[in-house]
Amino acid sequence: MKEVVIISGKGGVGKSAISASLGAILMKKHKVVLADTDVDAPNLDLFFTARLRSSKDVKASEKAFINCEKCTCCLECVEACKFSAITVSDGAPVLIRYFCEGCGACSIVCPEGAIEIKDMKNGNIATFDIDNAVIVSGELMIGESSSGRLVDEVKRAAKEEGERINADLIIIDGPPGTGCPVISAIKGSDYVIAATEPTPAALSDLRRIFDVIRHFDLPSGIVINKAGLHQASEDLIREFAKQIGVPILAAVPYDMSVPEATARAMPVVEAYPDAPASKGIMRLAGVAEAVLNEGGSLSGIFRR
Amino acid sequence: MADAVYAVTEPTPLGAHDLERTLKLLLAIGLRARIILNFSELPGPREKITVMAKAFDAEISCELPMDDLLLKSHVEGVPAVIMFPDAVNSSSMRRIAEDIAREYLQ
Repeated sequence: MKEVVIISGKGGVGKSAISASLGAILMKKHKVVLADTDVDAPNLDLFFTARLRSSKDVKASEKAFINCEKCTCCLECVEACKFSAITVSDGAPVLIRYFCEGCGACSIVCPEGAIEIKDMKNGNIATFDIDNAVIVSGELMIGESSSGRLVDEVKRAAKEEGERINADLIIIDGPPGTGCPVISAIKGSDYVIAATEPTPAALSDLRRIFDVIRHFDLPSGIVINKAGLHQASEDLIREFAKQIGVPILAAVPYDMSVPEATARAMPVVEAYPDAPASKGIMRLAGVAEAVLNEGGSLSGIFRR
Repeated sequence: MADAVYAVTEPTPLGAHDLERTLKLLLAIGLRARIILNFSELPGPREKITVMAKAFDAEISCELPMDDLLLKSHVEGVPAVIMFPDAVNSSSMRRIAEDIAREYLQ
């Protein structure tokens, strides 16, 4: 069972749309689990007629709790909190839970031992059945923190589902950015697909995401989404890929069929199979399929 | 805490889903959102967004239809209001900027 993660650095380049279409293509021939690790805004199940099978709460966060009976209102905790999560009301400290990162600084400085750091429910993991596959989706509770730990849990649940159905492949729709949840999405994967678009902003974020990827020493490739939008930026992306020795797996043409399919809540390869973008994603799927067929090291396929 | 929040969304099931999460968060921390509806004529669940906006007492302050000029400025890395100041969407964004300036900078 291989794990392929799709990340982008920049948001809005079409990572989820590509993940959904890639999944739709590959699930016709292989046993696939789709894992949605964009826990701040999970959308992958919306592309499919997904039937919710189960949902479980996850405690992957910590928060401070102030015991009012022990508190002497010295307010040292207010000074210690670097997240402005403790305010003062009527002379007493009050925790603003949405701002608390659970770092524990308040607990350390409290002379009365009145502050305890407790495990908190910060999200849930839903498992959906679709016609030919399973979707495991994590959702961070509103305003909660520790999204990286929740991503770890989503990946664990996806792997369990994969083992249950004897899956060939887990396709992980990663979170945007370059921070903690992205690192959680990448680690332990077999291959990283970095989605980008030919714009200066996306190239800047692509450079940043490869700074992260290189720490994991994983085989990786780039898919240029919305290709044809801006030739100069596309040339720069190709030049960057050459510099770092990473292959361009496919170029998916800019195509209004993609947002129109998204508006219809369908993968573009299902809604408009003959559209240029669909054909580009099919080419990408062919490359991803090569990973499955190799059955061994991925590097021989992607670095040739 | 921010003085004003603009939530940018699009009329797709994904946009509606994420907007609801944003509005719930803002409600929890006591902020009211103004919504910018990008790609406003996409054939998606527009009604759902309108109903949601009303339920959360959020105003749809601006609609930006799909516009090749906006796209061109994006790929060039130049703000549309500078590259195509006469475009319809540039006028809309200038209006938002003027609203912000009037409310918070004077």
